[in-house]
Amino acid sequence: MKRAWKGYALITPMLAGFLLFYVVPFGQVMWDSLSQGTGKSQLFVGFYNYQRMFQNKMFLTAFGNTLKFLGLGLPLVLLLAYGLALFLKSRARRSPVLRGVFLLPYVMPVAGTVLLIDLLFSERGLINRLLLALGLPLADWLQSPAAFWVMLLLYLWKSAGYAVVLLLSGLLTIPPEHYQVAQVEGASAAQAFRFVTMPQMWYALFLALVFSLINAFQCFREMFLVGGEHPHESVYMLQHFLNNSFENLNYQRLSVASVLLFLVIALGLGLCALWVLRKEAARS
Amino acid sequence: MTRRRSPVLGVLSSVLTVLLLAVILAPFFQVLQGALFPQAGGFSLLPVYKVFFATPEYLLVFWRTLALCAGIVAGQVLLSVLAGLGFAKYDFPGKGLWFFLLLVVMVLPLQVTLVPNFRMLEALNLLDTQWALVLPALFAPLGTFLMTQSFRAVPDEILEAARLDGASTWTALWKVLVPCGKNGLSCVVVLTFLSAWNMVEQPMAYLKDAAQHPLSVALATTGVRDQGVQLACCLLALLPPLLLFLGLHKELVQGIALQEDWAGESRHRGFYRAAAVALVVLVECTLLSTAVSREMAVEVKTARPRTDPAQGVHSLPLAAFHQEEDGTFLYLLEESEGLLGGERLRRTPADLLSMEEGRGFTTGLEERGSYVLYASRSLEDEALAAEITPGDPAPDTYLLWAPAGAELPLEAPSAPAAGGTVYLLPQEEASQPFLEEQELAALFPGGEGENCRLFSLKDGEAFASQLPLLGAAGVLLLVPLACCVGLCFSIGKRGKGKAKALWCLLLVASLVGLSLLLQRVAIPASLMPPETIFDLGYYGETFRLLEEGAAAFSEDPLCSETLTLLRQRGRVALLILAGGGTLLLAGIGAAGLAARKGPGKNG
Repeated sequence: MKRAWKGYALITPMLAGFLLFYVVPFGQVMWDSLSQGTGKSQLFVGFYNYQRMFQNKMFLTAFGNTLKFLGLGLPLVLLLAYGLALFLKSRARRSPVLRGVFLLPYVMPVAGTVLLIDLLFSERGLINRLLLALGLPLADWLQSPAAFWVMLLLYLWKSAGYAVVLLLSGLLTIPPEHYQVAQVEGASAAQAFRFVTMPQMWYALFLALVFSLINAFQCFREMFLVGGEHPHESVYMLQHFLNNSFENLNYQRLSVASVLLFLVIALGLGLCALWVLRKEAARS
Repeated sequence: MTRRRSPVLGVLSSVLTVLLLAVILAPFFQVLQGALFPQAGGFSLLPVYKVFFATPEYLLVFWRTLALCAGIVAGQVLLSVLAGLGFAKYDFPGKGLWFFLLLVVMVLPLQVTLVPNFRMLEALNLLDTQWALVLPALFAPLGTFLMTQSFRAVPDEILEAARLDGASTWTALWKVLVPCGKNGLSCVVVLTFLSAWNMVEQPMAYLKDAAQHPLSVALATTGVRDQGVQLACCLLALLPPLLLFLGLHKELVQGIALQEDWAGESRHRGFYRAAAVALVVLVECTLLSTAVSREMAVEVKTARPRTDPAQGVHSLPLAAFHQEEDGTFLYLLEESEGLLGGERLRRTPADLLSMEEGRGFTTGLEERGSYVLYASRSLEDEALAAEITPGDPAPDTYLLWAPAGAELPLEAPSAPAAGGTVYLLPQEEASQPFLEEQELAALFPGGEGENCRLFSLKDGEAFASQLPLLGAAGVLLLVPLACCVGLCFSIGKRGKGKAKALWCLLLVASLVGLSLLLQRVAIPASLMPPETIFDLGYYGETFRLLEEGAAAFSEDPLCSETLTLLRQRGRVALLILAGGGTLLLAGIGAAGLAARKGPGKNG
């Protein structure tokens, strides 16, 4: 194996730092989640911390909100992006420019987005002024259950473009001959989509899902900067919970929540990956 | 897909496209509009002036953040290219496991990795340093993931061919593989830069000192001072990502899609040009704003409060109580906590309890604080200020301009002037430096001097002697821009290495010259405009009055001296400006012609 050591040599600089800053301290976090106290008096208590965590009302709220956000946001973003990608494919000639434009919201700095939300949705923001002009009842967008939908909208605006680019490239790799064959065989547009497009899109969809997930978690930045440490209850996310535990130096709570989130994500991602692998295998 | 479509559908899809574009782009215009039309008060460049020309803090934070991000991007590119090659083209035990681990950590939200990072930084004693921001970002897994994907798309045969030609792994990597994986690389550059540029949680967790925070946090957390200023700052923060995006968007789109058209070649002339121009302009703004903030610092004369322990009240000279529209205010001089330090004014409301012998009594003062009595300009909350160091009294001559109808409480030679009268007031012992407000208050104890203007001929002379320097500074301000234009001509053309080096050298030299020159500029504070330093109308008005007054009393030796100096130096400054401008235009023209001819010669 002459190449094995060379491969390791190449990844070593990266891997060393990665292990040092991410993996090794994460081991410490795991140990923290299973114990009480600090330093030498740290005692192993098994799943006691986890048990208590599931009785913590804030944690349950945060967990529920995060699940709701992801459960609504991910399918919405994928559907929207899929629709846009299909639309863009039909105008393939103009798409290079359009594809670039779609990424623009993604590169907008966080501070800009935050100011923007303020400009639009604050009490005296543009939306309320518009409502006032139309004689409709005003709403306090950021301090009411509506905040959740504002954030969802922001998420869609910001990261749909990323998914569009991923999905569009997946669509463009489907050979046009497949559609010609489908047409010859008398398939309708819906049938062509169901039996030609869909089976070849699973990998692209998986990638889009992964990156949409990353972007959804990044959306927390905006929520944090808009709402502060204690925003309206409807947008109190798991990240707020983590952040506040961090501020309070509550390592136990922090590590339990981290480990739980890690497990959920690893599990979800693993299942999705398996599903996609099976679909891909069925294709070839 | 050659189905024929109905025109209705075509129109519909066009409408949809336009609508999409509007939804995506409208917020960007919103930011621009907010910066230029603050508070619906009509068009105003004041926020832009404040951010780009008046206070260097924003720009200094900008540069530091930019350097930080450049460091992170460079490190991340190096590490991820190496690791990407390892994962994509080599086989070794444990490869799949490591890669899955990278993938999972990549997807984890920041808050989960924040704690492990924090722990390690704590153990390494790196908290509260910029390293705390750089190191974890360097080893973030996203770059490796992307580079692995993009190197996988490069056929093995290319590498084999390079190896047969005798290239080492290192050479093959940088000469063959990296150019082939340039889309992935662009993607890594842009995404890493973006995440570094938008860091919020990490600085807030790792750095206690707000002065160390990067632009993103500084922008979002510095309270709501002035929305216009914040949006102008936002423009500044938008610039690098936007430039990077516009320059690399084609590669970015393909890189995100994990595609490599490794045969294609593209050039980024426009991107390099825009980046060069933006860079030069921002460097100049930084230099200029440093000088402007120094020159525009309000010169103030202060007093400490006297305490009456029996009654628990403090007293200050009456001049310290500034009557404003919405009440009486005191201005306290205090050390600022900002990046640059220096002293700033803090406006505090005050109740004037009683008055006695020119002193006012109030409560709740800081006993050791310095309160502003007189200032060279109108006072403003949070304005930079400098306490004057009193010099020995020196003879000076004041010119007083009073509007028609104002009564002067003393006898002095007078002459009619535009809109009023000018008086000549020779002083045996004028307190130094000259503070218009203080002298006016001495002349008009009752406060009738509000609409009068008082000029010190000494300050006028000092200003006159600065005029050629200012002219030279004006020319030097244009030189880097001209060099930049020259550089832009040679960018994107092969075989222009020498020209590029020459332009860069000139550019650096002119910038150094500019900064040296700006350090020598010292305009008397009494002649500064109240709002912005570029208030040309104010200068014009001031010099018309000064010149008129000096001309009216030409028999006075100091007056005639000042007048000749002012006129002569003004001419010299204009000459320098005109000559420099012509030379620059000629230089640019010549460079442009040379650049036109260049490709013709080469065929």
